[in-house]
Amino acid sequence: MSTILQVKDLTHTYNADTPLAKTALKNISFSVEKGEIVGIIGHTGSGKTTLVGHLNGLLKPTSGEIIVDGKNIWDEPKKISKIRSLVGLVFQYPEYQLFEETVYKDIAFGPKNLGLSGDELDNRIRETCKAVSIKEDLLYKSPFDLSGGEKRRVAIAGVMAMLPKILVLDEPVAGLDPAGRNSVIKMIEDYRDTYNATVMIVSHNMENMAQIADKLLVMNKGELYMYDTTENVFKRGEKLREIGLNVPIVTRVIDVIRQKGIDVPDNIFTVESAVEYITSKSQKAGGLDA
Amino acid sequence: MDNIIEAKNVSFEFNNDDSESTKVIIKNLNLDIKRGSFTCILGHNGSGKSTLAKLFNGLYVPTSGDVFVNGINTKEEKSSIKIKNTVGMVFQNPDNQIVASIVEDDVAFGPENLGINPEETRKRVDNALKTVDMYEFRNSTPHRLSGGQKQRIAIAGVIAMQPECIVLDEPTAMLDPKGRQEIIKYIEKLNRENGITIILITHFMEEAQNADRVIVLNDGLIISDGKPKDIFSNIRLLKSIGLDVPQTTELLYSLKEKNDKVNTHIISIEETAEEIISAFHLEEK
Repeated sequence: MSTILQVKDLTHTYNADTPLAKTALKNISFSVEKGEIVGIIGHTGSGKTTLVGHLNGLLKPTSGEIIVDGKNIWDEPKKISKIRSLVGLVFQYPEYQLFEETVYKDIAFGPKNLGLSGDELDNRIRETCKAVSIKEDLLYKSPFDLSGGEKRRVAIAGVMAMLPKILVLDEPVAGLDPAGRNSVIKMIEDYRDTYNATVMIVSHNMENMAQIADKLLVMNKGELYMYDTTENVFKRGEKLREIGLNVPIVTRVIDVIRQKGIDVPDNIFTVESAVEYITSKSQKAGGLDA
Repeated sequence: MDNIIEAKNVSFEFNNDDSESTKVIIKNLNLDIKRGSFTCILGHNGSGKSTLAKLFNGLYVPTSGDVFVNGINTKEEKSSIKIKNTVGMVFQNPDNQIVASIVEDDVAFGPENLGINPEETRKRVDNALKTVDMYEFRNSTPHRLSGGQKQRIAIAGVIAMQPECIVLDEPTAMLDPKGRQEIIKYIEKLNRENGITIILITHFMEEAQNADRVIVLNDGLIISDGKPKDIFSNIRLLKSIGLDVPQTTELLYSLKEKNDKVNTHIISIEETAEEIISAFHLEEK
């Protein structure tokens, strides 16, 4: 694997040099490898959004560096907009930003702005849609006639069609029902798998994070609180609770079982792994009345 | 206990201006809400639950059928103010509900519009802010507060009007888990300690677990109505209409497929752990 993103000593102060100065990020350093899915968690006001805004140059560091694909993104400040083709940002409720007459035109908007036209543009749109399972017949509908989940997928596809090497999504599944949520998660995984892209996801939903993230980056009061594999972060439930976060519910059930004096492992974060463990343990003990 | 709200054969349709089509949102619905109760209405996006909320205090009137609030038909225009004073509403997005630039001014907005005298208004504002533990923020600017705090201010604004019933339409949808827990805690407290009738509309099933009654709405129809434990144990039905079930229920249900003795009528984490230990004879080491 090779490093795609490095954040070095990033500090950001809003309203610097005024009485309202507020430091939102303090000396953040971390790096992300190609092809990883990294979850960014932390309670409201912990600096998640400020951090994400730096990754594609929407915000400029007060000090520190953002290095994407080996290059400091602020080396040539006048060309900062170029970074947006490398790092694609999907905001919360992206479907509110759909505006074109057809899904096709909406998805075309990003790549067109990158200078694509004609067949190249057409191929790009179809290729991206195919990779993330957006059906062809959807392309000629008005985005406003789609269901909530479909709208969300189309809006995300519009960013994916720019083929960013790093895709950053802010709460991509918020407000969706379970079916919609699963299809968005699948789409994100498909994008990563097809293009070996890196994905960073801001979310409050620990259960979904357990499903999708390879690593978790935990923010607290503008500082990097933890950065480790999902497994290692969720093994430290006590540390998470100290800052108002928690482990997935199924892990809390397992924790209670352990507190009752039963020996259970500390790496169960999904319903599937819990069921597998409980049934196998019970069989060993002869507890299942088959 | 008598009923504070009664819906009789209520239907509600939207007319699309550009097409001839009408969309039926609520279909011949009958529902009574008991005074002092805590009812939770669950449904996915587009199930009609927000429309139902607006029918409860006369923001919408039924296309056919009637809604009565304290025995008054919401169709009676002259009683419209009275009905809105009886049934207060809290919506999803706190930013859309805050009107003033100082917290206490915002909470005072309701009572002042009711023509309450300044002395009484002062008292109500203080009490309302204390109820949601936001008294110390009374002189703050709302936009500097967190989402959960803003939503508490919105709730205080409704409490200050002293309604008998509060309808909350997905009040936690835009909040983080901590903010969500806070809001649910205050909603439960309003019901328990202040005796306010609560109708909580949500698609987070965890929020319904302490309700007296859960109603599941799908496609404008009530498809299930009962106690939280009974409703949640029917996981297949809930999943089939696209609702989320608590992860504890999902776990128990998956385990039941392996071992039929597992009781799925459980929601809390503690009880789930105990059930697993006993059903699978997990033993201390």
